[in-house]
Amino acid sequence: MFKVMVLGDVNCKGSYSVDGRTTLKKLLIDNAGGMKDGRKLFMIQVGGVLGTFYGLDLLNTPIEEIENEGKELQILYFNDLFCPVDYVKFIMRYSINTMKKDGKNLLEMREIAEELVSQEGTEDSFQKLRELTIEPSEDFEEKRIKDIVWEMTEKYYDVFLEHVKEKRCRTTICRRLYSAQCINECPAGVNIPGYIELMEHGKVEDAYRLMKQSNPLAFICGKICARPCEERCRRGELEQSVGVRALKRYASDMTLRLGEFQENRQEENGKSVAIIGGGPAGLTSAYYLGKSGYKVTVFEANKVAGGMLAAGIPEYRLPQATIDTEVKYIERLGVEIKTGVEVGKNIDLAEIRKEYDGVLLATGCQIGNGFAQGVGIETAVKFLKEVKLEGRKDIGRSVLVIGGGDVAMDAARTSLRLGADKVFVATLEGSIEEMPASFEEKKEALEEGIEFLNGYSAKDIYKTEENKIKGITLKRCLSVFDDQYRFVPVYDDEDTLELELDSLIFAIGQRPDNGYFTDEIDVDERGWIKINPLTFETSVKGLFATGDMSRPGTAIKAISEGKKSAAAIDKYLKGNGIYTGEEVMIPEIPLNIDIWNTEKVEEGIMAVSERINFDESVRTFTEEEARCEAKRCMRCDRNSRRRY
Amino acid sequence: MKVSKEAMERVLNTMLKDKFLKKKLESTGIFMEILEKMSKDIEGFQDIREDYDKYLKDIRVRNRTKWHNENKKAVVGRDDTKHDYMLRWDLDTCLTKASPLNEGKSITDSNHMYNILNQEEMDVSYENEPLWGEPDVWKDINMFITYIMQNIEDATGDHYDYILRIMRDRFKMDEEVHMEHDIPKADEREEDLVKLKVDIKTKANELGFGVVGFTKIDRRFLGDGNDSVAPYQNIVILGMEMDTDQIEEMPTPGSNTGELWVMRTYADAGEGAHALSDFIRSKGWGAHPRMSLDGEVKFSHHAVNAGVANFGTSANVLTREYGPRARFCAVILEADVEPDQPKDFNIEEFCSRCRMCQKVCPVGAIPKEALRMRGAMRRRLNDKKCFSSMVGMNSECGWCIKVCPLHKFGFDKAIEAIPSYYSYNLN
Repeated sequence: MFKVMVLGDVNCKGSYSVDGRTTLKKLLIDNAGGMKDGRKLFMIQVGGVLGTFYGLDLLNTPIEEIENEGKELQILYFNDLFCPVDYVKFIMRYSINTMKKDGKNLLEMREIAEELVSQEGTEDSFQKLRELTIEPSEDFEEKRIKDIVWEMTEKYYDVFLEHVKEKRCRTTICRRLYSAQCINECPAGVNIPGYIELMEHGKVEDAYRLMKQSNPLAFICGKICARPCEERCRRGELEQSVGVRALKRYASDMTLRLGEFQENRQEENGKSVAIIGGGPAGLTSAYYLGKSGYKVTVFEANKVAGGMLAAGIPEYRLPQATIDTEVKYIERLGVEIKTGVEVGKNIDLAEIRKEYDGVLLATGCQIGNGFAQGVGIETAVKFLKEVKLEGRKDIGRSVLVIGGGDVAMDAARTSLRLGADKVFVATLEGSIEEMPASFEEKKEALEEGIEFLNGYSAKDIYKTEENKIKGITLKRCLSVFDDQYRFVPVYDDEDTLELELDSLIFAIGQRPDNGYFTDEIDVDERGWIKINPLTFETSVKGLFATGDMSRPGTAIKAISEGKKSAAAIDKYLKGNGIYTGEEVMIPEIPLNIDIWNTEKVEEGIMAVSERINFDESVRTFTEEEARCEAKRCMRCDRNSRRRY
Repeated sequence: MKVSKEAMERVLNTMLKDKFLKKKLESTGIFMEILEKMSKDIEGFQDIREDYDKYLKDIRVRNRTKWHNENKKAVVGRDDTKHDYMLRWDLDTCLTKASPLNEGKSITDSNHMYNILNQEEMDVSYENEPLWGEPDVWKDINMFITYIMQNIEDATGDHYDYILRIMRDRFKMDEEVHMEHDIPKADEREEDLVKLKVDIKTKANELGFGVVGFTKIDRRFLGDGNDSVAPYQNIVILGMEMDTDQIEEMPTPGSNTGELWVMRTYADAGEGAHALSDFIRSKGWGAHPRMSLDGEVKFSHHAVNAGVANFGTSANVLTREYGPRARFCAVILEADVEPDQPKDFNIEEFCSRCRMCQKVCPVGAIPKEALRMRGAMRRRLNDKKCFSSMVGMNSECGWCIKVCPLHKFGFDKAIEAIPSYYSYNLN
């Protein structure tokens, strides 16, 4: 028997006595209960602080093959929230403070490591650190320390450069490089603690104004955002996270209801910009360019603005009226939105390029992927668009949706509301927890009676002579990812399930529609447009592209790219930088002493029996609830005097 | 001062039962007035008082002469360049005299948690200007008793018992300091120091102290440079837990339970320190207790040197077992037991991301950043602002302790909130 001590981000840390043939993987899953919070395993360190690193390819190593001197073996499992710069700082501090090493090189390395995690790091000091690791050492431990530092700087060279040049820590661990964890995680950098503080004092209009400086579609995001901020809320690491999205919805709702919100714009500078596509990326660009004095025209193919927000998100989650309210404020900045005009059909891209000084493409990813055709077989994006924008009301009696993301959930719940008798959702993932859709979508879908068929893939599709869907055979999918988290699904063709269907909907991804492109625009081999990641410029000078069409993602990511591409176009047209509005003053008073005694408040939701039509199912906070929830914020941006 | 008649009668009855306490209280002015008004049955009252005043004066003169005679040779100009002693003013001769050897200095200077930037600046500063022992207002025993008596009226229950126990222990401690080496102890000495250390730890755990640490005294951290409170070189730091319910009742202490905030812990800790020093004297070694309500020996620095606590944001030290809730006291020990090594729990990594205490403080006494003071980067509280809240506006304050996550969730939960490799230090 071997004695091991399991540390790291696992569910059950502690000492265990195991048989020598136990592998590292078995130790993790059987004894330590798996990784905490369902995070992915990143690497393993065996043998203490100066031990060896094991990658994911060595997960099947048995314990008895690992060398140790018969003492208790320390094994630490790292999860994917790993910052190598912070780890180097820890190693240097540990070796000098706790192990009491005093080599001269080590002292200098520690000093450089402390600089790298804060605002004082330079590229020269980083190169000096790498040079010092090659110097000769006095004893075995010092050599091992230098080897570890060399390994980290070599393997994660670009992460170190990002810390030093852009002063950014992408995993939000080096605390001197960001103001608060939530602000760093938001792609748009919204000042979250700031607007929560304003709401606590009842200043909802100032809160909305502060939000719009980074995210002009705040009311929309208050209803549908994927909220990466709440994943890393400091309070959530100890107790439960603050309801950031719900507070955003409340502040926007209160402000816009009064209808007196005013915004100013800079004087017109005589230049014009055309934006193809009125989705979140295009609308955000239009907002900032219009506010900075440009003459902006947006070409939108659908008859309403909003892009995927209008066509892809059902009415009970995001009513069209909400989108129209915020788009109205964009139009007040002198932006002209031409709906019902499809570029490539009603007008040519070449004509637009001649008429406007700068052109931005933001047409997104609107064509759904699917692997069968027929009557009653369709893609989810097409189905949702027809229901929301064209008033479609018909659906089959027995419906199957293939896919595990948010789009699949939307399609399934819409089918129920249109009157389907039974709705199934088939996913490759073996359990509900592994599905990539958000937690509340899955919970509400379960409540409404949708049946999940987890761990199944399509085998054969049966159609009638008139090419209409009749039934499907599903085969079992035993696992989706291998040990190294690569997509390698394993099927069992003999374990099958038969279903009779009227309707089959595919929700397995989307691709962009490049039909209106002219020849000289470069795309990569899968059809995504190629752009310079810093300037958003395509291979054609003066033509820019942003949003889902270059890399698909969430709405808030598209909004942040819209703001950055507006700044890039402004720089190309020799402007003075985009104008985001006047500064909003945030009060600073001592926080509430009962901060830990306040429980989290959730937004109210309709009872299941009432969720049969397309009325909005989630209700906004009341004023009392909003005040209670806002008091729970720990105001992490006030931890230091330095301003970012 | 408003004190109800019932409260005074309760106090008097307890006091009259304990002869030692009665003798000490009679020397203070306030009780003189009250006694004269309320109890005319104490016989020979005036004589006792005059005898006691004379006795106190004698002790002070005797001790001063003894110090002077012993240390007359130790004047400025010693040849040692190591300077492991500190120089103190001798008020009787206008010269300087040397303290005993400062054995704890090497532990502090090599402890990275002090973050010393300039060693010479630190040494010169502590020798020129020792830390003050207590604020001047506390030194007057009359003021102290007045403050305590003001709180008695609001509280119910056995609280007055705590106050009297605290005062009795404090007087006993002061008297023992004056007696120095003349306190009786057992003839047979326990020579096995390893066994002695284990015995002391076991006895301390029985008395209710969950935190026990052994270290050497660093004479720079004695209030007013008063070496007479530490005639020996070793110190046992003891920590007792303050009541969680009391802290949760902030900002209105005692409203539900009727207790006088955490005074019970002060009383229990003081008695425990006295009991432990009696136990050590029974093993044949000298021991002096130091209570919790004490400014002469700074407990925080010695707790960090003993490896039981780390510095936090709000000038409280944070322990692993109790977080910020530990109430410290100590016993000065003659036996040279093996000192514990200082230990870093990486609490600063958590503290720097939280800082709730600094954001909640109603008067803003906690600084945002560490500042350079006395040659080291320190977080030094603004003591006048803190006292204005603790003693003045908010009864007992304690808001910084209530919002600390180490108090609410515990050390283990808090350490999980920072990257996992920081827990290598704990094993």
